[in-house]
Amino acid sequence: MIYIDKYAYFSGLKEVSPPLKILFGGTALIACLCSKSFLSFAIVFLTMFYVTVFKAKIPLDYYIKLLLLPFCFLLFSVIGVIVNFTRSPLPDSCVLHWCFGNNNLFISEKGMVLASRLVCKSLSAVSCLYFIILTTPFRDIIYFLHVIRYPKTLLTLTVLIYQFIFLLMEIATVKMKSQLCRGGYRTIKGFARSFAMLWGSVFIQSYLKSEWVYKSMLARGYCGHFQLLPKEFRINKKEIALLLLFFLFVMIPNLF
Amino acid sequence: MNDIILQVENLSFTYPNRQCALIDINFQIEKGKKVFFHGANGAGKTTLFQCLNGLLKVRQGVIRLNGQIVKNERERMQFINIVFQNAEDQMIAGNVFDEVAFGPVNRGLPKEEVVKRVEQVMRQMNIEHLRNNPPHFLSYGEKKRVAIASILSMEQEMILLDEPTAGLDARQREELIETMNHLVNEGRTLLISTHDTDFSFRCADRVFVLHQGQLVGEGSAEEIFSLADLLEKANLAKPVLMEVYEKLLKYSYIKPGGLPHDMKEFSELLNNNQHEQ
Repeated sequence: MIYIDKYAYFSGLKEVSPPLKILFGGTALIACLCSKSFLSFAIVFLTMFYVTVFKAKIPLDYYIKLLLLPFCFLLFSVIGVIVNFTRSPLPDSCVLHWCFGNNNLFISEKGMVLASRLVCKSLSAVSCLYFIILTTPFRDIIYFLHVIRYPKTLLTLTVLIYQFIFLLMEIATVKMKSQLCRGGYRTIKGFARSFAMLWGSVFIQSYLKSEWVYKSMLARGYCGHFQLLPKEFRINKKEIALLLLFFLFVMIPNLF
Repeated sequence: MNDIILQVENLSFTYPNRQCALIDINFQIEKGKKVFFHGANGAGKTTLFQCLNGLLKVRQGVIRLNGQIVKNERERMQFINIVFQNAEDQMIAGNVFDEVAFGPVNRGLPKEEVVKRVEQVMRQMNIEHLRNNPPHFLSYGEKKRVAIASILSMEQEMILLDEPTAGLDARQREELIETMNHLVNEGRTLLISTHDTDFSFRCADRVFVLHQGQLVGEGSAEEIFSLADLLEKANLAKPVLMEVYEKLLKYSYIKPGGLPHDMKEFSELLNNNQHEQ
């Protein structure tokens, strides 16, 4: 999973200006969240899929793996939407039902439509975010946030959290390797033991390491928030017009 | 000819971001030898080690242990182990004793056997007095010794050492060399990756050179370090003793023969030449 942000540096769209990519992903995301029509979701998802896999050249199998991750969460949450519970008589539109005495569990047509809309909406929204993540290096996202006057404290927090997540993951990955070498994780008991030892030591070490990182930042004049060199982010009128057009195009199916 | 313990045939490895790390590697290693791997940073030494030991899945190529193809990564791990470059990365337990015992316990050995092995290895690595200390707060040299001990306690035939001398002081280095000699005398095979050519010139039975994922040189230390082109290509420095020896020879301070591999041999060489003059 650690490659998720590395792809941004190698992607086929690395030359395209970062604000355009972020605004494109953002426009699509907003359009998608405002829509109700399945066609809109399909347009957004397919556009993002095309741009990410064919233009940015993210390997298809990796992209599918990434999409499956939120999809699993989605499936579980959707169960709650589909399956309804009632004590009164069943509504007419119910497709399937189970009775336990007075209590009825049922799946209605309305619930099915709602659930499938929810799934499509979430997946296409996620595809917009993946487009941004997989094509725009984190550094550029930070610059973008800086340019649009994102609060400094939050920006600093974002940068630090991002850095330390990788610190934590790096330490955990390499320690896990060293445990595998020494026969950890082979049995269920061994798994539990190794896993507990891993996190115990990862926290000690990442704490020690983060202290060094912090010291090195202090030594270079860090005083509470990150200073970024002003960088010119240009976006021309033509591009803005195209983005608006895309937004309208996605919204059209909602009219019918 | 000794037994061949490890054979690698047509091994290639590519990382998920499509970066080629190893390209068609072929070599074999005799039992009970110290074999050194050289190469610039990023040449593929660590990747090769992780492929051999099974941390990375080998999709192209064959690895034979004692003549038999071993495809399963876990089986290879039972046989070959790595001492990581950064000792800190290996520390996972609350104290040194548990750290050294981690491997044997995972093997499912009886308690008495585990304790016996751990005590023996701790004595050997001279870390008995640290047994109750938390490993994270030891000095670097101590951490390194604990890391090596935690691998030795698994009593495997082949041990890969990734940059073992990095960060050690002169005395710790001597101790490391002593430990390595001891292990080889016990019949274990050591593969060592390092940038330190003086170290390998002194200790190596055989030297391999990697360059951009390819094996570009193989031979005894003397053979390898006399190839100026190869050293240049792989960013390697010529061992100091060899350089001095050649300079002395060039200006006829000494007679040819008997290239010294450590300071003791070098003093003997100078002594002999003085007597003859």
